[in-house]
Amino acid sequence: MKRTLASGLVAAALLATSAPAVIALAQDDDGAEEIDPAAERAQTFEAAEEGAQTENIPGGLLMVAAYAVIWALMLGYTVSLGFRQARTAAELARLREDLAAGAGGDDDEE
Amino acid sequence: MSTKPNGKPPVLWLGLGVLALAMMMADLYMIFLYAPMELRMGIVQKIFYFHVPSAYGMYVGFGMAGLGSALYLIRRTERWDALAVAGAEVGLLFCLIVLVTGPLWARKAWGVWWTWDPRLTTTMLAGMIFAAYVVLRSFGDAGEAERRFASALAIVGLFILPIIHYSVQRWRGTHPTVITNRGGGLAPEMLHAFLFSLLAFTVLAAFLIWTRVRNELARKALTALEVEAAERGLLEDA
Repeated sequence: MKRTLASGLVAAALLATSAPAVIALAQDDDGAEEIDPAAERAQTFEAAEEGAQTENIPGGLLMVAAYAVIWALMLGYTVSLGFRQARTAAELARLREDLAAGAGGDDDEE
Repeated sequence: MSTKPNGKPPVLWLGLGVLALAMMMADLYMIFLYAPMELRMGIVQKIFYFHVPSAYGMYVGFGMAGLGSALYLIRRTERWDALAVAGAEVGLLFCLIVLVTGPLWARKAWGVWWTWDPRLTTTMLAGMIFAAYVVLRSFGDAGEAERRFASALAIVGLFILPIIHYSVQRWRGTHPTVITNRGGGLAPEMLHAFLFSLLAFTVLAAFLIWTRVRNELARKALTALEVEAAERGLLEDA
């Protein structure tokens, strides 16, 4: 169970780490072509019928998303460390008790 | 630095955790209330205050992984191996934050989520190397050969850190150079918030690495006890 969970977490980390590569591959490869600088400039001005069609990228939303990801990752990792530590400590205590009881049993037999 | 795998948690470790939490909270105040809004980029520039310190945390984590690995190969002690594992895992966490927050900023600033800029590419490569290290070490209890191989991998990964750092100065790319020698610097309040953020992330990275080292040493102690219990035939009842 522990190994399955660890493998799942590692797989998720790998997936997230390689996500930028997938995003990059999904993008158009226009940048790789030789572009005539003159062709990049605007050559015509057209009248807008229903307002300007400029791309409006929401900076606030991107910022909120970034901070949400940061805090989720950091808190998630800290909590997972806490759980791992508690589980290991409980296992250690139980094994020590078993070993002590076993040692006591051995003494009784002798 | 106390790294006892059992017993009561060290007071210094607890204090470091409280300090890290307090500094992270104060960092939010510095970023959103103290530091002014950037003139051209607007609010999305606030990502900078966590993005760059995360990259610094990544350097610290991967640096500790390389150091721990090198010392493990020399001394062969569990403590250095635990430091290597902890450094790699914490470094990978910060690397993940860098690789997620970077594209979110780039979408606004560059109009694209990702570009094969030298710094972006080398950062992703470092993340992949240390992800391989973490995967290698996560497959149960590694034997001596696996540990040595993983240590060598971490040392190889360490060599990419200076390449990441100097990539924006040596190679042409699109990544900003605000805080490098070629950059124009930051407004005073922005610089204060940035330096505080760097300090907060240093404390956080130290706390996380120490916590993970404690965890790894406890796990090693547990494995040793399990072997002992198995030899006595006590594990069958468990």
